[in-house]
Amino acid sequence: MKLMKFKRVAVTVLIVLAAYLLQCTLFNHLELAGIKPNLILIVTASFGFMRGQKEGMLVGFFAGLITDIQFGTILGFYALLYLVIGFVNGLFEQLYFDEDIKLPLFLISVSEFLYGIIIYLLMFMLRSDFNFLYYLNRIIVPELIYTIVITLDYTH
Amino acid sequence: MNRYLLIGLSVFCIFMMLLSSFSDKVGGPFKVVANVTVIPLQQGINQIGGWMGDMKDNFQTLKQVRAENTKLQKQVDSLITENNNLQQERYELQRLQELYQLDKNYADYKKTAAHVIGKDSGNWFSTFTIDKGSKDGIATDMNVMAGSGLVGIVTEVGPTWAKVRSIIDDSSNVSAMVLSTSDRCIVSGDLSLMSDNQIRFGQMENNDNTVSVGDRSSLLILVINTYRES
Repeated sequence: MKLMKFKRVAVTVLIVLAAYLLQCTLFNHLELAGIKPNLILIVTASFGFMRGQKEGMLVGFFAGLITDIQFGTILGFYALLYLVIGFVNGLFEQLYFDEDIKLPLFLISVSEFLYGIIIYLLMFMLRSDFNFLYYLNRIIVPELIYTIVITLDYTH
Repeated sequence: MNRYLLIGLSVFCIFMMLLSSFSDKVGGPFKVVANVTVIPLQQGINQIGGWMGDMKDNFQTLKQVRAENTKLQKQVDSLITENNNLQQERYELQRLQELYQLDKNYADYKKTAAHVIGKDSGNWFSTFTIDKGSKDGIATDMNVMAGSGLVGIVTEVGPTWAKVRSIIDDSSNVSAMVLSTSDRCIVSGDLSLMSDNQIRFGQMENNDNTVSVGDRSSLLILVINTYRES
């Protein structure tokens, strides 16, 4: 029983690490119009609505923490953001069915959209950069579309 | 139970954010984790990618290689002419430097070559990681160059890696000087200009000197790039 749990944790850690490495190495080459999809968000949200709040939170926290260590400006920012995303997705665990694609797609789209909005609010608007429409068109929406495309590939 | 975990972890995150905005030492223990796990993997991936790129190049046919060769020969010829012109401009640069009593050419600054092993995983910022760190003498606030231009500044250092904020990142601001008129100005990164391959040029002294398209600007003597009308 303990071994099973340990294996599950190990596999989860491996998946998160693999997603992070893919995100900052390979996905840079898959850029379209300068936009990459957000694989870490997909992994966090998936663990959230597939395995529940606790696993979603922990996956989000650790994925965000690794991102923070290497690429964040203040330590803890991405950790907090992905933590909340993991938790909120976990609230939908009861509604999730294996075959159905609509719920994951909807959840990931909403998570991605909120992620973009929050980053804009905290990192750009607080520096008095009010060019929101530009960021909406050039970054938030393209990243949303690209992430949805990757989700569709992944769930098929 | 889950809510307590959520609140606990959130408080921990906020605490870390506050700490790290006031001091730089917070990242210390976490950097060790990054060293052991992520960085070696990224370096490995970088090597594999390089090897695969080489293998792909070996599959080019002889015809393609010959066509490329003629094209490159033409390029070499034009470059030789350009080089001669540049030699002349170099004498003028030396004269200007003497005028300012600058006795160090940036070619004399100590440099270390490095590879980029990871780029920022998001679309909002432009930072990357290189594979040289404090063990190789890298420290924060050191400049990072590519080719002959400035590309970024080191913001954080680990033993075998360093985090670099690129000059086109939205929060980057660099003071620069236009070489032809010696006017100072600020060059700042801007997310909305990034897709057009431009960065912002502002706060220039309001005097009678005119700056025209094509002038070069420099950070002290480090060249940023040529000036383009926005």
